[in-house]
Amino acid sequence: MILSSLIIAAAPLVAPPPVPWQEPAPTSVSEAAAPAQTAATVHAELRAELAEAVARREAAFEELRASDAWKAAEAARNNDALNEMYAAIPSPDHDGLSRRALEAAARFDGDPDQALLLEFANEWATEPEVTAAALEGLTEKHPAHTALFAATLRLGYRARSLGDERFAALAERVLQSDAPPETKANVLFARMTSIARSVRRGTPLSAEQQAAHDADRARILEIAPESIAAYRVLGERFEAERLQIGMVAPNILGTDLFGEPISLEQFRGQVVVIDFWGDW
Amino acid sequence: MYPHERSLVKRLADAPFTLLGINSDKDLDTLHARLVEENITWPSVWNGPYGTSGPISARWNVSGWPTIYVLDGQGVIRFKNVRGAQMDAAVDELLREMGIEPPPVEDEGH
Repeated sequence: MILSSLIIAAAPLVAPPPVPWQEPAPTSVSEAAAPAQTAATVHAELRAELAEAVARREAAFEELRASDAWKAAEAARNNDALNEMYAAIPSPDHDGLSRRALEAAARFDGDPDQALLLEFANEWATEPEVTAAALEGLTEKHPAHTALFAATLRLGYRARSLGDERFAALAERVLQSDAPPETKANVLFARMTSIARSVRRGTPLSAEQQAAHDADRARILEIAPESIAAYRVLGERFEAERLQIGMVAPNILGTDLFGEPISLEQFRGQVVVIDFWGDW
Repeated sequence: MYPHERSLVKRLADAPFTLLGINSDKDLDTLHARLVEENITWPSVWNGPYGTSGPISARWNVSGWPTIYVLDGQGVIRFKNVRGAQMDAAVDELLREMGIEPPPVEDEGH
């Protein structure tokens, strides 16, 4: 949150490509002590290592913001200089961690927590090879696992880097599997959006593409009408048709941060500021 | 990190006003500690374990954070993405429509 809001404040900073850490990786304690490793323990180690790297990055950014050079560039509204300084902060080695997660996953065949390692690899990798291998492992071995559900939420953004054929094969494999309908709905949504993205902006879809797009859309609403994918499909039109100034806001029903039920409607009669926020 | 939200909630504590967060953090345990540290007292609806991909932000078509909507007493969307002093002005205008004179904004510099 701190990081993201400051980027907005100092716009137009653009997220820089990850720069690997120069320091040697810390040695793993568990290797020396050799307690029995499981997919879950390796996953926890990788997560901890990533969290440490993120914390180092945040600390470096705090330090940078306190520096005279940063303040001077900010006062001068010199966005190029700010961008350059920001880009020089080392990022966590996401691809290195992802590759390690994938290698570890290979050692834990049959362990249900293998899915967590594959999900980790898929979540953080920028390399299409690692992403594809992780997704293929998930679809093949853990079609019912929530890790596959989470991975498929991001699949649309990955479709291009995976390549059309590999993406199409992956999507088909999930759709033919015994994955839950919500997971399949995510894949259908990914396929819809990848069709839309593959077409140059402003160019209409071909009749064939439009038919495929519409069929996927209809199937999402049919197999998982209450899923995130269905909300997204509806949300495409929602903004244009409903969420305009002057319209009555749709109700929000859910639980609060402590698990208690809460709804927007209960505040009717009051002025309400709805703030979509996060502390991540 | 949330000074403006805090001052708004404090200033309008006695007015018919609610700041309702829609929170997109995945990890609630970590967040609970932050609520205390940051003195976040206003309510939030949780967007679920899939973070920014959760159902509420999907339904409201939110793709950037933070996103702000301001609703009047009838639940009608009246302002979108107002921040800082603009947010104060928007809320005050809607309270005045209801015949309520909101307490003045204190200068945050003092």
